[in-house]
Amino acid sequence: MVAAQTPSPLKKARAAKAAAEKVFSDLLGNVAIGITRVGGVYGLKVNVVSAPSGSINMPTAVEGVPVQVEVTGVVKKRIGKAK
Amino acid sequence: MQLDDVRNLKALMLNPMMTAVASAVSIRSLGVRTQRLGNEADALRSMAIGITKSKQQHRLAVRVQRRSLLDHPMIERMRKRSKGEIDVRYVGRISKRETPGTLQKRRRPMVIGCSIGHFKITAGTLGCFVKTRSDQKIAILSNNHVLANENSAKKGDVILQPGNFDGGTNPAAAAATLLRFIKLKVTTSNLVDGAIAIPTPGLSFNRKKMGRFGSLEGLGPEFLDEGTGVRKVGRTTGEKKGRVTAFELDNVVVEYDIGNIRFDDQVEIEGAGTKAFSDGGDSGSLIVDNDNFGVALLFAGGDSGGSNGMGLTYANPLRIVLDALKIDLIF
Repeated sequence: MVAAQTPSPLKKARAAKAAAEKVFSDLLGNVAIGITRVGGVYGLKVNVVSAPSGSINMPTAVEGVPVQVEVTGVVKKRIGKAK
Repeated sequence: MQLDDVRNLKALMLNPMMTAVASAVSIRSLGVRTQRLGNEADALRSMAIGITKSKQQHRLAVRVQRRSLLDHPMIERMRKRSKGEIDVRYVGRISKRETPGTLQKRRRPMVIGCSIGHFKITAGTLGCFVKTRSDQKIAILSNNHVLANENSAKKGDVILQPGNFDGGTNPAAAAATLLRFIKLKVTTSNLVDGAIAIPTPGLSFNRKKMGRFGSLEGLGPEFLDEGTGVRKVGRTTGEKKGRVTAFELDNVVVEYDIGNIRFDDQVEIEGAGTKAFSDGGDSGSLIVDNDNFGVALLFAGGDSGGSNGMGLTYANPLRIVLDALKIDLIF
C-alpha cells in the first residue's frame, strides 16, 4: 500500500487561497490574496485597503495555512502625477 | 591602523600596483575614481585603491573590476604590507548612475527607464525593448496606461520621449508610434497592463543598459519566490532595489481613470531599506532580479504597507506580458 503524499507547503498554500478569500471577504469586504512566507513557511497574504475594526476576530490560519493580514491602502496606477 | 599609516601605505603601493595589474589585464572599459599616475600614459581602471574605516580603525581599501584580480599576487603583497588591515572587494564594471534628472530628459539613444508616454498622458517609463514574434519588429514595452492611454489610443498614435509632463511635445519629441495593447477590462479580471510601440525609424536606443545595475541579461525564471531581490530603473524614482513580498496575488484592485480594475496573479514588491520601490511615473518599468534577468512589468502601487512603511508596488509577471503581447525580450 502506498501512503498518500503530503502536499508541499506551497501547494497547500495555493489550495487554501479560495477558502481564505471567502473567509476574509465575508469579514472585511474586498481583499487581495497572495502567497508569502509567514514565520518561515509558505502562507497567505491578505491585503486590505483600510484597517479592520478591532472587534473583528481575525483568523490566523485557513486550512492549516498561516495567514498574514496587511493594510495596503488604495492601489493606483503609477502614472506621472499631474502638477 | 592610524590614518597616516594607511595613507603612506596607499602611496607606497599605488605605483607598483598599477604596473603589475597593467601586465595582467587588457583594458576593456573605464571605471571611475581612479587617479592618473605620473608616468603612465593612461590611468588603468581595473583596480582602485583607497582608505576605508570601520570600528574606528582605518584600512586599505582595494576595489577590483575583474574577479581574476582577487587572486593577483599584488593583492597578497598589499595584504602582507598592511598586516591584514585590508578590505578587498570585487565591484565589477561601474556604470553611470541613472537619476530622475537624467531619465526625465530627452534621451538619444533612448534607454531603459527613461520618461515616455502617449501624447495625451503625463509620463510613464520605457520598460525595455522587445521583438514581435510574428514579424520580428523591434518595439518598446510599457503599460497600456502609458502608451495607449487606458484603451483610448489608436494604432499609430504618437508616443513622446520625454513624456508630455517632462516637456516632450509633438512632433519634436515624437519617438515611436503605438502598435498594440492588451485591453484593460473593467468588468472582469486582468493579468496584464501592457502595450508596445514601434520606435521612429533611425532613432537610436540602448537595449541593454540599466544604469549602474549593469546590463539586461535576458528573461528570468517563471517562478518568482517571496524574498527574491529585484531592482528597476524608473522615470520618477530612478534606480531602486527591493524584494518580492508576495506572488500569485489575486484580486488586486487598482484605481484607473476608467474605473477600478481587478488584476490576478500579480507580484508584490517592497523597497529596500527606507525607500519606496516606486512612485507615480514609474509605470512601465522593467523589473529584473539581482542577476539582471527580467521578471516583471511595474504598473501600480500604494503609499501604505511594506516592512518599511513606504508602500508596496505591483507588477505583472513578465512571461505573461510577453505571451499576451506576442513578443520576446531583446537584450
